[in-house]
Amino acid sequence: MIDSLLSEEDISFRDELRAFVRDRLPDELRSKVDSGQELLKDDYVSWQRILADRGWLTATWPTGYGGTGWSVIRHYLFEEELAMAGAPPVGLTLGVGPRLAGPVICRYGNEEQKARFLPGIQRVRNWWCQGYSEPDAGSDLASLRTRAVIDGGDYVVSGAKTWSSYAHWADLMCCLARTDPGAKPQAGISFLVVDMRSPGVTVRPIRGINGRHFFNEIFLEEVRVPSSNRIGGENRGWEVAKALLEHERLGAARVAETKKLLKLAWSISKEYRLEGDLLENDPAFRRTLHQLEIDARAVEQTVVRFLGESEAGKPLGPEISMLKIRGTELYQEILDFLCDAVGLDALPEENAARSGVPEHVRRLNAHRLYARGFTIAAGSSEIQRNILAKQVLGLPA
Amino acid sequence: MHTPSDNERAILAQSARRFLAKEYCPPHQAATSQNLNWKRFADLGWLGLPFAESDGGVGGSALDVAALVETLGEAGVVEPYIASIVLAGGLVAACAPPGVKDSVLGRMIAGETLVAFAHEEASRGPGSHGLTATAVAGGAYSINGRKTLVLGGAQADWLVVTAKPAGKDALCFLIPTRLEGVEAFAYRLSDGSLAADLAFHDVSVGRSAALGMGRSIQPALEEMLDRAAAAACAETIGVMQAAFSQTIAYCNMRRQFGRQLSGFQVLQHRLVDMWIAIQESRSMANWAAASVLQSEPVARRRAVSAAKVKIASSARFVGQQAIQLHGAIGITEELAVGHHYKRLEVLGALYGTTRYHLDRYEKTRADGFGY
Repeated sequence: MIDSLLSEEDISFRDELRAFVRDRLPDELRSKVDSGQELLKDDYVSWQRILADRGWLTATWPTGYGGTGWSVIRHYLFEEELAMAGAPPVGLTLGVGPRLAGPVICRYGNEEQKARFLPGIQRVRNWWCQGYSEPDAGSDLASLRTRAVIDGGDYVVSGAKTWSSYAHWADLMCCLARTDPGAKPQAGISFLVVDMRSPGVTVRPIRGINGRHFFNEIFLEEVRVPSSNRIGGENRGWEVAKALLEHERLGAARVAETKKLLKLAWSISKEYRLEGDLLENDPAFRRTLHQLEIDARAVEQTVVRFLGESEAGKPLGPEISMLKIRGTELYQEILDFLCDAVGLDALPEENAARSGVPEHVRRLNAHRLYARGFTIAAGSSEIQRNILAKQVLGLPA
Repeated sequence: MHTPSDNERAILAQSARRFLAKEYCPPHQAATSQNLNWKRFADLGWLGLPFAESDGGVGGSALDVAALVETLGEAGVVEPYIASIVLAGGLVAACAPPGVKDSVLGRMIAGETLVAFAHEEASRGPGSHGLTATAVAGGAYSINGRKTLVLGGAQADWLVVTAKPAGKDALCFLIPTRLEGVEAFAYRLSDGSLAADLAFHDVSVGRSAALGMGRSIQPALEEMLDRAAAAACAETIGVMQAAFSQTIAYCNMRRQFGRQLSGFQVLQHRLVDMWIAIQESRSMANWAAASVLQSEPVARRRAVSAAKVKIASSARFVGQQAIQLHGAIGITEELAVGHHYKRLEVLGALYGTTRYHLDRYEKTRADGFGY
């Protein structure tokens, strides 16, 4: 669909991406991803190693540190084509180390910190997690209360973090802590790297309504963190944390995942019978599916338009928030449609073994439950609308 | 960086906007305004925009037409630019025999002659039929039946009339409106634009009236209909934009409960949702225009139909919320915002209703999932 934007070299690059996944994605991992099974740490680590081997694990890093220097379009193609070809989703796979800690340390770390932390990420030796949100600080992240007090050469850190994905696998945490309670909220936060093996760190799993565990709470009780683990200046942590690279935000539109979901809808309709007839023969089903497909094209064409503007030299601005809003809301709508389409077969829990019900159908409701989080995480739809209202429409505070 | 044609389009749009703001007089405000406006459009070169220079036009593309009609939409213009120039004019330019083309096209571009497109038929149950064109001796035809929703039909000098014989390719005729046996019943649409139902009683047309000269006119007809639909998408963006700008301005100005309306979060989010709908619509209109430029029929049908469906629904949302956020004054005739909404509903149904386009989109996907 974005052929109009692609140069001949971009098209070769896209072919290269497809060939890479075809040749290097292990079949076992491919079928796990395809069937919607929960992936293990080893699945992610092995895929990261394959990407690292190809030089793509640290694609978003500055070129001096192993970044690829790709255009915005090529970063987008990388995410989209890997997803379409059946690879684990880039955001999840690469996670905090390659996608957050690495770029942050490249940009704000001193030479000693770069030497200490970057190789561990590049060689897939360490798993990182994010310690930002707190029980009392979600959308209002700046109000966070985890406290870091200087004591000699260390910070002593106490507080609680929550919604930390895969923290139970983590060696290191990117932690936002308050170092100046007297300053305005955003002006009193520092960015610390916390060793998860330190005394005083406790990780507690949070089970999701889809039955899976990826979120965790992290309790910090007087954890000693060397001050040489602070990235960037003291009380300058907010800017560090907010530096989310622009090209990643286009991924929030979830175009590839939505296409895969629509494709799944088509294939379910060809094998699934409700009241004797195949779903694909139900005109109401077809009509709604096409309507949803049209809505998906509108999101994708907007990505195309923004990419075109980016290529023409106009940097991606706050307008991009609309992609997260529309992409996630549509994704949820398609899952509701699918669950409705299979009727009562969407009710049993995911693992109930029921003959005659295809695996993809059994997993629909769990997938739908998981997706309820998409409009909440990484800036809720309501927050995204606030951002658009203030920064794009200029409406009063 | 912007290409030279992007710059030209921006200049075209800007000068159009300025002219319309100063000088456009809506038809419902003066009976003679339509003729006056049309003459001015001709003077500005707008009526020649889509035609080749060899035909006396300016050689503009689908993108140029989109840039112009968006400003027409924004200014509340209801004259039948798309139906007469893009659609009817496009068919004349592509398919009329040389002698006929020369005499009609130049005068059309000069604003001296108006051409309307008679295509829609109302089938109101068993026995009612649309329009038939029966071949008679000497390559001539006898035309009988009715056409509906002919934009500018009663004011036009010429009609481009389509006929669809069952199981056969479409036929298309260019005939003078004043021909014996042609009857026009004029009325206004809800947006104030002029339309007509036409009745044809044994209307005799010679061979030279047939467009397409012996080859099938079906591909050209489809292409012009798609061009018109794509242009209507662009025009709709303009109308939405006007409704939206006026709504934000109102919300920023109007105070209740001691503060501006635009300070209330629910209304902020509503305005954001309107803005998002316009953005998505613009993306789809761009896709439709690009597909018209590339001209591969199946891809064009898919993009145009998808755009029409999406934009019609976005337009309804934006138009209705524009009224909602104005409160009671939103439902008065005095305010422009109600006019914009009426126009949006008209544009949503012209050049193929949502039902038609959803069906057509589905047919382009009949080969299964290929997205």
